[in-house]
Amino acid sequence: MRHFLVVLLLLWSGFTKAEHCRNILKGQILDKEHKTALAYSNIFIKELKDGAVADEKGYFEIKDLCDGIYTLRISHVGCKPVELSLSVFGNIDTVIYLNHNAEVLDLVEISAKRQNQALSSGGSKIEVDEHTNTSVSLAESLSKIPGLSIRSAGAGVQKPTIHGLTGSRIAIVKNGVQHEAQQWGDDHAPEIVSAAYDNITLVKGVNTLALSSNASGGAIIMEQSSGPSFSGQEVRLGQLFQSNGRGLETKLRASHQSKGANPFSFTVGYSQARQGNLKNARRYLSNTGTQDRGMFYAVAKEFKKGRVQVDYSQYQAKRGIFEGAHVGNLSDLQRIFERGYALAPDSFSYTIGRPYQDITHEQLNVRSEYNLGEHYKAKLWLSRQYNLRMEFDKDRDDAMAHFEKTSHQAQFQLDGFFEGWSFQTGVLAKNIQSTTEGAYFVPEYAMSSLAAHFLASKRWKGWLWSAGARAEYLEQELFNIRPLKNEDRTVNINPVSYQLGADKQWNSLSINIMHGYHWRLPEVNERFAQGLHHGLARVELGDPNLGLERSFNNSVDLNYQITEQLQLRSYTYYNWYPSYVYLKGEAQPELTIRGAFPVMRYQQSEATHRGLDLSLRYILPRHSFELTYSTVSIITEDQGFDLLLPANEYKLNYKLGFLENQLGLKELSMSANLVEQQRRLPDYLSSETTYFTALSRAPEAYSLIDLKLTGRVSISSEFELYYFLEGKNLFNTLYQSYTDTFRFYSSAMGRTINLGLTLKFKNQINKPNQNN
Amino acid sequence: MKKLSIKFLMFLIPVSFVACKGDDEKPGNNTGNESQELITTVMLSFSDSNGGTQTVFFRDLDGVGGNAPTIDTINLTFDNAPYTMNMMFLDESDSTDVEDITAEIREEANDHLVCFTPSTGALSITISDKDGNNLDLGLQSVWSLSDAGTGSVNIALKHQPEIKNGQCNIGETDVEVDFPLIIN
Repeated sequence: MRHFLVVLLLLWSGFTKAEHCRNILKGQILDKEHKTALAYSNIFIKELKDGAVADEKGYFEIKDLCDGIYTLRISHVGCKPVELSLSVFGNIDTVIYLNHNAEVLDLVEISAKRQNQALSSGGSKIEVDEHTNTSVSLAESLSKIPGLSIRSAGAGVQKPTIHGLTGSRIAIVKNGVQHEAQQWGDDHAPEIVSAAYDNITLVKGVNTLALSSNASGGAIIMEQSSGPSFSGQEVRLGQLFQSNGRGLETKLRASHQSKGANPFSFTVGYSQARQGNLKNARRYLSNTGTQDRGMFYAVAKEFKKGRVQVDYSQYQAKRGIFEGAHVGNLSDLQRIFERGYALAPDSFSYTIGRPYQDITHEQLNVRSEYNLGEHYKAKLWLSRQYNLRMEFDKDRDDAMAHFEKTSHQAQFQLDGFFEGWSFQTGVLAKNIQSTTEGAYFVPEYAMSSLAAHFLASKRWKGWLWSAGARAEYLEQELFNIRPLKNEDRTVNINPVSYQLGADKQWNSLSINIMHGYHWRLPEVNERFAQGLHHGLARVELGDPNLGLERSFNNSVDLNYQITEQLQLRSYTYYNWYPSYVYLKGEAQPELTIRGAFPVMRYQQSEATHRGLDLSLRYILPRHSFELTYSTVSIITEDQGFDLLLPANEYKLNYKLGFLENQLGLKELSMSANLVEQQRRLPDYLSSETTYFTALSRAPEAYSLIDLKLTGRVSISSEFELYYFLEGKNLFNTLYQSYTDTFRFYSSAMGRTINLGLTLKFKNQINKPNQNN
Repeated sequence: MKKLSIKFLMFLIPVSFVACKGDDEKPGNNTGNESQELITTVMLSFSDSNGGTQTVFFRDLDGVGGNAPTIDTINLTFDNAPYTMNMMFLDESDSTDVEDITAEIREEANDHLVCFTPSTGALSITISDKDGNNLDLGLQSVWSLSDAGTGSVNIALKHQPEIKNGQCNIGETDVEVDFPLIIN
């Protein structure tokens, strides 16, 4: 049936090739950071070899465009040109941001722009379209990008992984500040409201030095705007309905920007979501409801020579953990292995009972920037984050784990441009206090660090060369460490990391080559954990003697424009870890009062991490096809393949743009995901064979089909209604994902039909005269 | 407007800090000992038919990891049979404050069941106490012997909220221990 649908869609695309050539593309080119007009920018459409020049207020207009997807190249004196792909099906009024100080090396920025050249090196950007975004979960929003996948513990807890790496090997950066969460293992997802962010960029591989030394896997960069992109007010009210779990989400967001060259702007937002028991293709999953609440605001003021922004966000969530996943001991788990799923009530409810997690995360940033003349810019950022995680166990009323983490950081950065060299240098000071209550699982600790980095780049012989280094001094004080007979311990380290890069663009081919060295202090749980994981029915033990995890990372990103319609991109990486940290199955089980449990201990050995993301895009007027393939492996010297590696995956995306119509229909997209059976499994050498055999048994291959229809209706000049209707796992496939640690207990989520409605009110003061 | 917005900004910064939640504790105060209830000890008290008594323990005072548990051997004599056995579950992780968890299990008798599985046919165990629904509870039992021999007894405490039906193969296992057994 699903193959038939694919064929039908393919055929249909052949018949609907009517072209419409009266489209008008107009817009404004603004400075990304200061939202000021970039006068006389050049706009060039590569496919048409034609373009326009913006006026002194940055406005431009191009008429009589045929339907299609075009590559725009936008340039402005003093800016690094930007290329972006734009689908034109009807008139378009857009705002395009350039980074006016782009001659300054800003790695994140460069990566974001690269992605804008449809497909290219170093980074991938997904615009989070607030009007059509369903996913409360960050991981789900991200999983559309090749190489990104989800590691989950049941349907409710999802963590993003980049090329199979997760936890502290990847960085999540929100409004310029690294997210400090508590990631003790796989059943703890990061606490983020993705709805609060306007765009999310993925920086793969080694290109993350300015942000962190840890992120050998890459970084997820999330940015939130401080106000509307115009002078005036904007209010959005969104409602989302999700059939699976009978979820309802409400989002309200209001923003304002004053007139003038140095505007004042603010945004406030609130979101609330509630969802009951999810359902897989056969059964309800008891106690998988969630309740989320988030609020955020951002206030910014521009000055003649700079800018100040204050932003704050708070997130609270209560997440039920699938009842059947809580097992008392190994024989309970073995009964589940035999049955194939866990017994739990098969009924719907919004009630969240034990076991559940209660999570609060708060972040406050104060960011200021000051332009020191034409070529230099100074930034000072202050930030505080607070995280509280309470985990309520099933068995006894006061069984609870309680973790708190408070972090403060101050960052000073200077960006500059000097005789053809771009550079960036900065200092980052950080303090983290982490406390626990209740039984021992990880020790409490305090950590202080001071890091300095320097990056420089220069164009030479047609290549853009970049190099950078980062030095850090870190002190971590750990208290009452149970595996060390309640001793305290202080760890001091002062390692250095570096990266090198080269970029070149020919007519139809661009290449980006990266090499870097990263280090990571193993997490507190990797060194000092001592406890029983109920969901996984095993004892996890840290190794206090683990040293730094070091990695040498190499990547090549190639982007080849085969014909005008056809693009091929490949991202290849090969990383060598002299001392990779992973979980190893121990030979002897541990006897406890609940019976004998298999033991897994964190170990360190040499490992290689390699893989490939391939994508092929074919773009026609009104249609686009994209086929992507990703494969990844991490091989440890001791145990073979690492546990929970994402399986090879194919994604096919098809998009159809609609002509102007009364219903305001804009786009129909269909995606098919085929996930192969994982064959890269660890070699456990253990006497506890039943458990480890089950652990290294991968579920069968599966494919999922999603459909999504989006549209926009203009009600008046001020009011617009955005809508979408989507079906996920449309054929209600019963499947298990190898990267879901709860796969023994239940199959993954079944079909859901989602409907989203957003009413947008816009009051633009001084609406610009477009003919000007 | 400009002045106003600066004032607004100045106002917001302190407001933000006030709104922040905080951690009342400093790291280093939690020794992990004032932990939640944890069963560390299974205690079996035997009274034989001739008035003799015997107490055996399974103890894992430091919980998961650390030192291995200590397990006593159950020594039964054919001549003294049958035995009445009363069992207790204790939290001895803090030696100055031993908690008896048996009372809680008795209170929630309708959700709990103690299951006995001897490895030898020479021993048969009959539960002699009942819960509110007249199903077996297992805190008290009678141990009868039919022969001499050695082996082991598996004792499991099952938590079966709302599903208890007298069977051992459902619910979550709170305790499962094996005691070595010698019958003379």
